[in-house]
Amino acid sequence: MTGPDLLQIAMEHSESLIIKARSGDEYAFNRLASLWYKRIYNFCYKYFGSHDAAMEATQKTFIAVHKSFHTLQSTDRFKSWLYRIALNKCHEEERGKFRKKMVSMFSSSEEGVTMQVAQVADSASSNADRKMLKKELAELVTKCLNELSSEQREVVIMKEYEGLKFREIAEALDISENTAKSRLYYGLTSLRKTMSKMNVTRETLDYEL
Amino acid sequence: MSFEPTKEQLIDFVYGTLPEAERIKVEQAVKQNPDLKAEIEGLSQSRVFLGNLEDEEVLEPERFIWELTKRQQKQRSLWPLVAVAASLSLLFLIAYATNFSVSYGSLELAFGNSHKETPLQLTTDQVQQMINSSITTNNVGLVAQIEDAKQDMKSDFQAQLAANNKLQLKDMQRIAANYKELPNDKVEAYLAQLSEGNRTIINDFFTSSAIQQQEYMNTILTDFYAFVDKQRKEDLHAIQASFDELAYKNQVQTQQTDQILASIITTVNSGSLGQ
Repeated sequence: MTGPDLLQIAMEHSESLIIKARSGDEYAFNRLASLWYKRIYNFCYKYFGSHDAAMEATQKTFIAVHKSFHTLQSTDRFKSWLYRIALNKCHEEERGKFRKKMVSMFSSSEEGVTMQVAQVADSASSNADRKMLKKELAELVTKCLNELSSEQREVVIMKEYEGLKFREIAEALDISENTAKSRLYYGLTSLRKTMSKMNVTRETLDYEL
Repeated sequence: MSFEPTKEQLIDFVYGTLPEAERIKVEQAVKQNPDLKAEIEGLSQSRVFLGNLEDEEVLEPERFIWELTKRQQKQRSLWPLVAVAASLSLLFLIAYATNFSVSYGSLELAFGNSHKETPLQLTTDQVQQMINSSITTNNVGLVAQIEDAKQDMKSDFQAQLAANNKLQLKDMQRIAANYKELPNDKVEAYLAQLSEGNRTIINDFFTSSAIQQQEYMNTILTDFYAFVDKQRKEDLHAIQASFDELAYKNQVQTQQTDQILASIITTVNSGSLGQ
C-alpha cells in the first residue's frame, strides 16, 4: 500500500480524533493537524500559486481551527468546516500583500511560458525534456487557475484537487449544490478558453499523457 | 423535441455522478448533437489539463500546538509590557507625591516626613529560645490531637464493626429461612436468570471489546502512516545528501584535473621556451 492511500484511510477514520480534539485533547489535535496539513497547504497553494501565501494561510487555518473547534456541530461536517475556514483565511491573505507579489510574478511571463511549452512539446525527446514540459505545464495550470474568478477557482480546486463531494462544497461555501455545479461548469469552460488563448492544444496534453 | 441537458446535468455527467436514467438520456443526446459532444469534450479536456498540477510536498510542524501557543503568545506579548509600564509610572507618581522613602539598614518603608523609633534589642540566644519554646508548645499540642483522633477512630470502627456483624447475622438468618421455603422450580428459574445475565454481560463485553479493537486498529494505522511518511522523508533527505556529496566530489575532481592540466601545459611551455 502506498503513502497517499494510507493517508486517505487515516483521514477517513479520523472521527475519534475529531471528537477528542474538539473536547480539548491537544495530542489528538496535533495528530489531526498532521493528517490534514498537506491537504490544506495544497488547497491554499493552488488558490494562490505562492508558497509563502499558502504557508501563511495554512498556519492561520489551523490556529482558527484550534480556537473555534467547539463551534463544529457534527463530526460529519468536519471536512467542509475545515475547508470553509481555509477558504476564509485565503480570502484574508488575498486582501493582503501576497496577492500583489504573485500577480507581478506571473504577469511578466505569460507569453514566455506559452512559447516554452510549445517549443518543448515539439522537441521533447529525452526524459529531462519531459520533466521540463511537465514543470512548464504545471506553471501554466497555476497561471490559468489564477485567471479564473475567485468563486470559480474555489470550486474547481475543491472538486478537482481536494475531491470534495458536491454536498461538501455546498456546505463549505454556504451555497446550494446546483450553484456549486454551475460555478464548476463556468470554471471549466473559461479554463478551456484560456487554454486556447495560450495555445495549449489537445496534442500538447496528449503528448504529456 | 430533443433532450437538452442543463449545465448541472453536464457536470454530473462528466464527473460520473448522474443517475443511470439521466445518464442514458445524455448519452443519446450526445450522439445526436455534435455541439453537445464538443462541449463535453471541452469540459473533459479542461480536467485533463488541470491534472498536470500535482501536489506539493510540505513538512508540517513537528509540534503544532507548541507553535500555536508560541504564536498566540507572540501576538499577546506586548500587552503585559504596556500594563507593567503603566503601573510603574503610576507607582512612581504616587511615591513622589507622598514623599515615599526607603531605608535599607533595617528595611523601612515610609510615607511623609520620617521620624526615628528605637528598635527592639533582642540577642540571638533570646530569639533561639523563643523559637524552641514555640516549637515545643506546638509539638505537645499536635501529639495530643493525634492521640485524640486515634481514640475516636478506634471507638467508631469498633461500633461500626459490631453493627455490621449484627446486620449480617440477621441477613443470613433471613436467607436461610427463605431458602427452606423456596420450591425447586423457583431456584432453577433464579439460576436461569443468573445465567442469562452472565450471557448478556459477556456479550456486551465482546461487543465493547470489538469496538475498542477497531479504534485501536485505527490508531495503529494512523501512527503507521506517520512512521512510513517520516521514514520516506528521511530517505529522501539521505538521497539528497548523497547526491550533494557526489556533486561536491565531482567538482573537486574537476578542479584537480584542471590544475593538473594547467601544470602540464605550463611545464610543456616552459620546456619549449628553454629549448
